[in-house]
Amino acid sequence: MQLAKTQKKHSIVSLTPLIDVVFILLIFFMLASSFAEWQFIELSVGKAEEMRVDSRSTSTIKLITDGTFTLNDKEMRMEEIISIVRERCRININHPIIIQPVEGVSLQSLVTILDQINEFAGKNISLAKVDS
Amino acid sequence: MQIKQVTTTNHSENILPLVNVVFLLLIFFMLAGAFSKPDLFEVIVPSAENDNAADRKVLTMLINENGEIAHNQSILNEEELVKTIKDELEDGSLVHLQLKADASMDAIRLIDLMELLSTTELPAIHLLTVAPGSKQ
Repeated sequence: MQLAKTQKKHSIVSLTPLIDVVFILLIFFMLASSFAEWQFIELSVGKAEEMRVDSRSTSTIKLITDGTFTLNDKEMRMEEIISIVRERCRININHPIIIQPVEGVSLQSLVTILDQINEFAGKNISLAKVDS
Repeated sequence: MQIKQVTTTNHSENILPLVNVVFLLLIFFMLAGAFSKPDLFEVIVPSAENDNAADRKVLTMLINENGEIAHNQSILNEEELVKTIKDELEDGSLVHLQLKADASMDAIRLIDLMELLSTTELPAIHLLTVAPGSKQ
């Protein structure tokens, strides 16, 4: 008896359209996905109030422009201001710090100084507008 | 002269490793990436080196470089902003507000906004930042 030979057949379905679809899906997911890692700086919303500032016991940092700063009305470099305020906070963790951006100063400058001060200061940081 | 016969190879076998890699990449991007709705306007947030990871599910408002505030694809004026926050606070779902503000915005605008929000019972604002040099 002669048995019928079974012939090995190549798969009829071609892989090419599948690969095309997978590539399109890959490109879609690559472009649509977001990998940005968001962080935040916490700002407490207190009641706005006017306050008298004693310049001997408070550090008032004024942001004049995006690269000019004063500490208690004395112009200094950012690094100097940070080291003085750090020393004051080392003595008293609740040393009051007031940050006053002048009109025209960018949010990036404010965030940069807040970020550096947050590393060592306590919770006593306030944002204030410059008296007009 | 005898000419060497060129052997034909099976192409589908050759591309199998490529297909495997592409599948793995596809699965990676499907699982690791997060989808987000396109914002009403492009905002480049300030960079900072803090390491507080932000929550994606919190009420987030956008502020562009001109100080315009947007929420849910519409621009809000100050009254609408206060009303939206008060409504959310009444629902009890809002703990803090996330602000996605443009780095080039005037810093005074943030103080004005905080002054405005002090009329609500909102305890805190989370100002969104990204690590320096990271893609937004």
